[in-house]
Amino acid sequence: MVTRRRVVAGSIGGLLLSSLSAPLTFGAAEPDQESLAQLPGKRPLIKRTFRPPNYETPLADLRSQMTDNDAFFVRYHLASIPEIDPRTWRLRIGGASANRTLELSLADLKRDFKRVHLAAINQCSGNRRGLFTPRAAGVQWTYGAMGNALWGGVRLRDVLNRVGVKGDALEVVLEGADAALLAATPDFAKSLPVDRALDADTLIAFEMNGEPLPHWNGAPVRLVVPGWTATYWVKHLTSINVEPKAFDGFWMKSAYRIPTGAFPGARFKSQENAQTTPITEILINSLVTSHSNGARLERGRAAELFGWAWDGGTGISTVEVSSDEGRSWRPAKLGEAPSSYSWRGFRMPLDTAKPGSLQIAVRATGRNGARQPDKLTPNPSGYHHNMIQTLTLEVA
Amino acid sequence: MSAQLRCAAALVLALCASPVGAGEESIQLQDAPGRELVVARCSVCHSVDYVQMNAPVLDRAGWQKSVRKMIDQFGAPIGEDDANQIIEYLATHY
Repeated sequence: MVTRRRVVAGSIGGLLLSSLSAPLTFGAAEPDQESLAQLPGKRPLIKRTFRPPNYETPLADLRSQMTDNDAFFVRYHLASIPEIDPRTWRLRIGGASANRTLELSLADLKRDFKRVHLAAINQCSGNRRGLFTPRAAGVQWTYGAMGNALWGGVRLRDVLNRVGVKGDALEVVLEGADAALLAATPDFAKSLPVDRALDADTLIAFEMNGEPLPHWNGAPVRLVVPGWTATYWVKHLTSINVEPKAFDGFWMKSAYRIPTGAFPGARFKSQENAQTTPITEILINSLVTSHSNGARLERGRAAELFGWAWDGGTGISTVEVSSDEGRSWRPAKLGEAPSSYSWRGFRMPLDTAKPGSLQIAVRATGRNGARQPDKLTPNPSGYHHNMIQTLTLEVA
Repeated sequence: MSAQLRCAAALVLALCASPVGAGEESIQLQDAPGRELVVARCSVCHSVDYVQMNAPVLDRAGWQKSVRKMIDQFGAPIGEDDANQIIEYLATHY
């Protein structure tokens, strides 16, 4: 294990400048230590917790259009994670609102259903929780509890249609093979509204970037719910049940909830109450991957800011960069996105002519007009951190 | 070899040398009364780096809530006396 200190040079100056008039905050608190550690089959990642394993992708590994499988983040709630033999693995489909039950092997899935590929962001609901003010308890992720990958598999819809979905179906309940060490701990299971389960883009995936799913990312088969946060992307999938009533498992009723009405995004009405509602869609966001806060630039030498912007599937229309603390904004050059669920690259040359601090801010706008906010919406679990990112770069 | 290079080489060596999957046993919680109880009880379900990770976030009330959550919602078999000692250790040292 290696410990390294995060570079924070320049943040103090940023704080002083921003207090004069700018609406954006520079030099916000960041966790000061990061430890790298390695899981079998993964390269060294930022270790948040050993057991259950929670490992974050370092910024340097987020620079490619598709995030490498061995660099992709790892997130578990429960510590019993079986190694599953793909030859004996079975998926059971049924439930009170299914006309019949079905058991499928991996070979059945591959042979009997149309193959689909889709590029999509997989982002933890709590990505950037560690950057929240006020602080929120939970895994203290910074930027890397996310990645972009090409998912290969079959449509959940096609599998559900094989068992027949009754007219009274309300939710589809998904369970994986990972389990708690104590019988009294709530098992990890999630549900989806039936219309989201029947969406053509919701997949039962067995491939990631053209390879079999890595163990730590849900082998042999996981759910892919493009546009929705990763809590719904159940790993090591073992059962799918179509039900006429709202699923009352802990991970729906008590966890992964946000204040009702506080955020935009699809509503999960059968799970909503007056106070709280399940988190659903990924909110519009962006990330600079070319530089981290406090990075130094050589005076007079060409430099370019680049990174990614994404949302819950609407697609990105513009990314703007400010180098004067948010007083004025210029549009960045956008790259292509392989799908509207994928991230889209942006680039902007940096002015390195004069020595001193560059106060950089980046904001993305979606095709639906949604734009990154300059303030966080407080919520107890620290979800949906999509505030405009600010960086102080030092030209010298 | 420059200091920077030596540093980089040491980093690579350390990464290569660290056995895959190892590490949990390297966590050192503050040596104080209650530590053994915390390690014994909490490690049943999770590594105790959860304690270090949430130290900047939780105050006494926060630790209390967190320990109660483990018992009431996650089914940790911890009695009142042990729970109070665990909360005392966490609130005092983290």
